[in-house]
Parts: sequence; structure tokens; C-alpha cells
Amino acid sequence: MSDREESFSGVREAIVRTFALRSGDSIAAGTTSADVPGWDSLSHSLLLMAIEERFGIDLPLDRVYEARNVGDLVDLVEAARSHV
Amino acid sequence: MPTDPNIALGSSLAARLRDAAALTPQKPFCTFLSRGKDEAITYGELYDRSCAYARFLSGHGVAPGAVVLIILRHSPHLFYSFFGAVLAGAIPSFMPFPTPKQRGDLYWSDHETLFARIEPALIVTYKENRDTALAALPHLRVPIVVEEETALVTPDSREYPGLHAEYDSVACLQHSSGTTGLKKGVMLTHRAIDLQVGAYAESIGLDSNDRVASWLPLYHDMGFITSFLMVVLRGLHVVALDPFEWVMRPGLLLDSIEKYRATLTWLPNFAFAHLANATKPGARWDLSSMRAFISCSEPCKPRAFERFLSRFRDCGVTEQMLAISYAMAENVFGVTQTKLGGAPRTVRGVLSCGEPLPGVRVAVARGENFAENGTVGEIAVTSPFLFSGYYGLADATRSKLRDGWYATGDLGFVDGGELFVTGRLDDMLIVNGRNYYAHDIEEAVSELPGCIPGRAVAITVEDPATGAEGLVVIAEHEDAAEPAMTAVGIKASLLERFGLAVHAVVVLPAGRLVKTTSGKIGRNKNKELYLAGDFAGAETNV
Repeated sequence: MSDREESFSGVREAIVRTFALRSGDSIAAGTTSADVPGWDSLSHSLLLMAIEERFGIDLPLDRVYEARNVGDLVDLVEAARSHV
Repeated sequence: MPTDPNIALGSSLAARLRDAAALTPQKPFCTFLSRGKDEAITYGELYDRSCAYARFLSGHGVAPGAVVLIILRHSPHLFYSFFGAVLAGAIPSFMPFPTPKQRGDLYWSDHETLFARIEPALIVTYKENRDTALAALPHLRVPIVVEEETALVTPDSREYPGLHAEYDSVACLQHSSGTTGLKKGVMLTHRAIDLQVGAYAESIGLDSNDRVASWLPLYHDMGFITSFLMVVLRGLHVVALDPFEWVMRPGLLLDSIEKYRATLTWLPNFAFAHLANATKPGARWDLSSMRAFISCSEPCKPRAFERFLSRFRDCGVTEQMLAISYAMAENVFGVTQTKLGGAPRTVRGVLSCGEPLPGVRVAVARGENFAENGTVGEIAVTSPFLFSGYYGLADATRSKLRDGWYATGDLGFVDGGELFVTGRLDDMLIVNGRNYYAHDIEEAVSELPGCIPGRAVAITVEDPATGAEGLVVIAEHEDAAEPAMTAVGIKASLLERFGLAVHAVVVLPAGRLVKTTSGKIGRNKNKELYLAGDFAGAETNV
């Protein structure tokens, strides 16, 4: 598994856990919060915490602010992991 | 009443800012936090930049008495444009901006009726929002300016008309948040704001050592008064965070309390739970500088306080730091306040909102009469700083403001001189501090493809994960419509139209929603069924 695939898989796992989904099969790079039940602005912060815990990273606030979909979150994870 | 001899009663807001800037030009007014950067703004800078705005607005034809709408994201221009309008003698009003997920064109078209009623002379906004407005409302004749345009204007020492505004003239409009049906401009005079700040400051024992930390938006009375106007009128220092950044990283508020040794912060109920839930379990802050975390603007739940206390007890938070205020824009802000330094009482499972502020009277009405102590009825309020009416809405003013009393629409009872709020008379729902009428949401759902007109209910239910009240829409679908698609459509539409993220959508076959004896679809009965799991199985939860 490439680094990017591993990041994607970890983000997907965090989404499944945070929003108590039955499976992550429908989660793709283009998935947005509107596609996932329970993903609102409050629970978004819980997802960020879950992602940070999963990878042992801190996501930079200014970049997180601009993330629009799952792919953007994976990019942020990639960038943060390369700095660890 | 204010006791500080340095406070000049009878002056306009603009004159008060001028005097503060002249007396203590280098004193910090605000530490403005955005994207990880701190920007310090002194009272001198606040006044100078506001003067530049006043000149800019006057140059754009804004005459004294004209309404200026301010639709800005987190930016120091919020402060400058507000006081600029006040200095120009105009009447500013902060309005919410479209959220990132809301469709800009729908946001603007939803405001057309409001614009027709209040006839603003000018709108200050950010570039992206102006572009959307110009595309969505090509016939709109109101000039829309972008915040950056004012940077080229320099202030001068002219006598701005707002400095001599009458104490009893309207200083600003406070528009409530939520669906457009709720957007009424509460007219607030210089006197009302001044007296409210005096009474509220007395009720919390405010002094010059107090420092406010806030993530609250200024288009809502809680942030507008506690974390902006009260700060300026009392010469205090506020640490101002971006509401959107705070929602994503609630710990930012605690970072700033610790760093700037803040003493006061105001939070709606959901924020207590959010702080407890969405900060990393091992993280610690020194919050011992705080005098009070004041819960306001949503019914305060004992459980939210318990979660907050158990999460932050080892950061120096004590039960005595938790306080509650009952407030509304129609009274400028505060109506009641619990005593700081003593935990609020609970009666019949309801937390006390405290005693009325000095000068405020609260009564509970049952029909034409006042109810006895302990009896639940509609809460009515009168005070020396009650609003003077809704701008351009004489009928709405008459129906809510009678014989000097404001009928709040809230239900509650009085016990031992303290007010306890139990619910609402109408169908107003509060989601994350914003107000929505259930019928506005239900009407919007009724118009969607696949939905049966008049066969939908909007309710709120506590989300155990976040501790916040979440919106649940239960709608019946047409036989030919695909339930999952209908549900996705409802969710997307409410997000685009109102910027409202729905917690759950339940789509049922026709006839499943229960009617009341009068033939209406009852929200309470269907909520009970939903909570009891009666709709499980037929449920399509997107």
C-alpha cells in the first residue's frame, strides 16, 4: 500500500468511526460532508481529532479551514506526515 | 445604573468611542485572532479606522439616519464599519453571511423582502459575496462595497455627525439569526444600549480588570453586546476568535483564556458540550483566571454543565464559575443573570436563569393575568432599556410590545425571585444558537421533489455524540419517489437554503405521520414516536 493509499484508508477509517457508519465503501476522494449522515460543523471537529490521533499528527488550522472534501483531508494528512 | 464617575451618560456611542480613544489611545481594545495570527487593535486605532470608514460611507452618499448593512466574515472591519456608520450618523446592522455550504444565490434572493422593507443605503461585504449578490439580484439598486475599498481613505479631524447623535435616537438595528421569517430589525437607541450595559455590568460586578474571550459572531446579540459594545463602553479588552475556526478547534478559546488571562466568556449551551467533547482528552489549560463561563441564548441543560465541569475541573474550572443569563435583543441583551460565584439552582429539573437585572421586571402571564409564583406561563419583560420597536414593522411591534411590556414567546416560571425558562409558546427551534421556525423548514421540505406537501415535521433531538440539539426532519414521500433520493434531496436543500446541517432525515411512506385530533400533523406526537423508535424500519436515514 502506498503512503497515499494508507492516508486515504486511515481518513476513511476515522470517518466510519466518527459517524458510526456501517461501512466506508461509499467514501471516495470526492465525498463531502453533505454525503455523510451526521457530518456537520460540530462533528467535523471530532473527525479532525480522530484523524490526528490515528496518524499522530497535528493538522494546521489554516489549511483545515480550506478542505472541501475527503481528498483535501487526505492531502493535509500527507503533508503533515511528511513533516513528522 | 453606572457608578463610574468617568462614564458620561447621555453621550452617543460615537462620542463614547472618541472619548475612550482620546483618554487611552494606546490601550488594547482587541486582540484579533485569525488563522493562527494575533493582531492587536488599540482604542486609538479603532477610532481612527472607524473615522476613515465614516468618511468613506459619507462619500458614498450614506446620510445620517440611513441603514447600513454589514455582512462580513471574521475581520477587524466588523468593528471599523460599525463605528464608521455610527460616526456618520447612520444606523448599522450586522447580518449573518452565507456559510460555506449555503448557496450564495439563494442567500441573497431570500433577503429581497428584507431589503425592500429596510431599504439599506449601502451594504458592506467581502468580494466573493458581492459578486454573488450582483449575479443573484441584478436589479438590486443598493450600492455594495467591499471592505478592502476603505483602506485608501484616511481619517481627518472633522466633526462627524454621529458624535452629536441624540441619546434617544436609534443607534443600530439588531437582526435575529435564523430563517428569513425571523429577521426583524430590533431598534436600539444609544440610551437603551448604555443603560443595558450599565445594568448588566452591575449584575456581573464588571470591573476594569475584566478581560473577555469570545468566539461569538457579532450578528447575534450575545456576541454583539457582551463581546463588542460592552467592551468599548467600559474600555475593556476582548480577545476575538473566528467562530468558524472555533467550531473546528474549540480548544482555541481555552488557548486564548490561558494566554491572555481572560476572566469572562459567554457561550450557548451547545458550546459547553462541544468544548468538553472536541478537545483532546489529555490536553490541559490553566483556566484559573476565569471569573465566569456564562451560558446564554439556548436553554441551559444540567448535563452540559456536568460534562464541562468534569472535563475541565483539573484546569481550574469550578462549579462556582458556571453562570446563566436569560437575554434577548428586544431588551438589548440581558434580562436576568445568576449571581457570579454561586452555582445556579435547579428547580423541577430546570436550571435557574437568575434574578432580573437592576431596573428590569419579569412577569409570567396566563391569559390576561399575571401568574402566581411557580406557575408556568408566557414570560413578559419590561425595563428602562426595552427596544423601541421593529424597524419598518409597526404591526409586529404592536403585537409584541403592549403597555410597555414585551411578550417574549418563551415559557417559564418564577421561584424565589429567580426565573426558570421551560420552553417556547410557538414552534421556534434553536439549532447551534440559531433560531428557526419549524414551519419555515417544513414549507421548504414540502416544495421538494418526491415530498408530499404539508406532510413533513421538523423537530430537534439531542445528539448524544455532541450533546447539542440536532435537527431531525421527518417527511412522507410520494409513492413513485425513491426514499433514499428524497432524503438526500431534503438534506442538500436545507443546507443550501438555510446553511442548516440536518442531523437526520426520516422519509416515510404516505400516511405514516400521526395527526392530532384537529387533523394537523403534530410535532410533539411524531417526536415521541421517533424517539420511541416507531419509525425505525421505515426509516431512511441519510
